[in-house]
Amino acid sequence: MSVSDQEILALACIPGEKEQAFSLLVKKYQQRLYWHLRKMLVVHEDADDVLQNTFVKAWQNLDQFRGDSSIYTWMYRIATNEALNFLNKKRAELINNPEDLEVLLSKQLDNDPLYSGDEIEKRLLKSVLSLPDKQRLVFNMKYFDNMKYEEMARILDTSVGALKASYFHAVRKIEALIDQELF
Amino acid sequence: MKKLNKTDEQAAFQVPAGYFEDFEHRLTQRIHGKNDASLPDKKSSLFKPWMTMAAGFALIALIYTLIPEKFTQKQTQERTSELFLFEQQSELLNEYELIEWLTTMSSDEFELYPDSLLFYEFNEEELLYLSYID
Repeated sequence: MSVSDQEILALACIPGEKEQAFSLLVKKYQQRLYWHLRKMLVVHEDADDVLQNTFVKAWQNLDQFRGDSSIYTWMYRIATNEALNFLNKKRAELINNPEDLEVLLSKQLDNDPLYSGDEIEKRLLKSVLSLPDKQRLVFNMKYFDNMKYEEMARILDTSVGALKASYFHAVRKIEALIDQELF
Repeated sequence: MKKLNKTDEQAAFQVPAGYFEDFEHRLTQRIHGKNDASLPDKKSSLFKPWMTMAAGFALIALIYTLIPEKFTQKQTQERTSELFLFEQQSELLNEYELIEWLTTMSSDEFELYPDSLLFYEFNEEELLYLSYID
């Protein structure tokens, strides 16, 4: 039986019960957050690393959580920021490398033993990898996670209009890339 | 565009066996490991303020000693660079340009003395010529 966010928060407020509350939080959201990160970062080890960072931050700041948004939205935002920071850091490390991050991620996808998608799925993912990070985020959240624009707006702190425009352009780009069979 | 639903896409990505079952345990180890390391022990918490104070005094003493030295050094450097500048100017300008430059400066701005470095390369004849220029 799934525990509600309110119950988890109430438990976290009881002295000595923070660990128990956190354990429930991890069990409830680890998979959803993992898949969100995995789609952004491609490599399992990176997704695992960033997922841990996300939960560590959640643990450290759980006492300060004000309840302005749902716990999931709050954690999703932490995970998203951690993923974007990770990608920026990785990009900075490749500054003198002739290959850019998108090429590297694409190659990692080709060589990943933990990826078993067919050619069409791979082509779609590689097209998505060619998008700028934030646009890729919007695309993943809408296309793969079926998230509502209003929820996306809360997570990304952007207007619904901007998100719709971003998604529209992302779809156009990906369709063009797939049609050209560049991947 | 072929619509891939969440299940398809997740099926394409895989995780190592037992990953999610084991995740919480690894996370807890990491959190508690971090917490233990970050807790200061009593000894260091007593020692720290004294160290900070000692470091502060040392810094003040260093500044007090170094600033006068640096200031003297700077003055010497400025003088040296001033002389260097004169030498450079005399090398860069040919005689005509030098004369022009000298004559456009007012006597208030610039005073020439026979032993000035500006005249280092001038012979007597040239010096005499210069003295006739208004």
